[in-house]
Amino acid sequence: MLGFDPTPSDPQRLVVLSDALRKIVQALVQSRTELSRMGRTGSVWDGPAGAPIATLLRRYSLQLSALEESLVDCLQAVDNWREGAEQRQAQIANIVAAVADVAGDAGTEDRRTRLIAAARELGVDHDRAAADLALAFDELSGAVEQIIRADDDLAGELHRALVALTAAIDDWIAAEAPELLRTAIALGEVAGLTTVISELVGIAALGRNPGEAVGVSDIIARSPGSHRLIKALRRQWLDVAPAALPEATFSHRQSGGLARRLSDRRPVHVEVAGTDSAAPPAAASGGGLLGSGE
Amino acid sequence: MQPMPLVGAEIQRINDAFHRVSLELSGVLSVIGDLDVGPVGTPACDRAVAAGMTDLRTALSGLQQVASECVTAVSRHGDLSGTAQASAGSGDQPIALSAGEEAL
Repeated sequence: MLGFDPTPSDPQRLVVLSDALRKIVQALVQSRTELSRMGRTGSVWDGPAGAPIATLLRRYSLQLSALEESLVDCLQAVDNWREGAEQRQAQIANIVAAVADVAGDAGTEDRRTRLIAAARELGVDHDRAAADLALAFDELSGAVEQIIRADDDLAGELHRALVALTAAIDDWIAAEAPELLRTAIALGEVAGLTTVISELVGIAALGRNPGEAVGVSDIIARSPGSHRLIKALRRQWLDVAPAALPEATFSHRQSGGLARRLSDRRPVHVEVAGTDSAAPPAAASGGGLLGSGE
Repeated sequence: MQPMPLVGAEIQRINDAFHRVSLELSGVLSVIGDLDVGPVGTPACDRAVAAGMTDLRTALSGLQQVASECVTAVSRHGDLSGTAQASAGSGDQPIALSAGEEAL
């Protein structure tokens, strides 16, 4: 009737686009929230050895966040565009109906011209609104370009940070080995330890035969996480090291298991380097270890 | 004794978090893949929307790959978390990959 479409738009397709953008934003929010929480100041990753890891977590989180912000703008632009387009299309429908009413009537040419002019004006508004939508998606492309341009080897840096962390732990073990040994002996036959026992590789550095330390060989044999200790033993005491190792897994273990077991234990009477002594409560012995691990 | 964090559980958390991110981003990549970004307005904004969605897919794909690579990187350090399996017979051989990595 008008001979042109001043308000091209597909509301149904816009609903689908809007839903998709909303799902993506939700996924990005969920992803970056957890990572930024782990890398926040005051987390376990504070300190010289942990800070590089926290920095990497925050950096990746910021990339997700930048994309999220652009997408939120796009989502808002799509919704605004859809709402405005529907209103303009409704107005155009009224104009078309009015033009149809006057069609063929003599002396209504002016009215028809005014209606078409109104339709063109709505088209201009429509184009202006479309520019806002285009701008939001142009900015999305710009944000993507920045993320791509960063081109950082985040995984490689994470690997190097973990290597450095391993070195820091080794240094700590070397400095704390005597007390670790006393702790291990105090723990006696407690099995199922993971991280704490993993750090006991320092025993090997003491030059002692583990058979001399009551309970230590039991710990070695039964602890699922004592790989580093077992590796060290294989180098020095092949006959003592357990032959079989547990399956590798990153699955969560029951949290608080060690603390509960330790709290249930009484002080253990042990012999250290030929000297009888009552070991301190195990929980106190391990009290220098921080964090929220098992 | 100087304090030392129990890094094992924390490293597992990082690994799990990146694994979840990888899965989340894989999910939204599927959403984009199924999306028909046809005309939604004027030709000019249609071009911008189509280009933006293509770029978005590229970014999400790259971020998903980074998350996946981080899972692999963390898994290489399974001994830090006390859960990786040492190779039998040698203390210096590479540590086996974790179940988390294999799950990918």
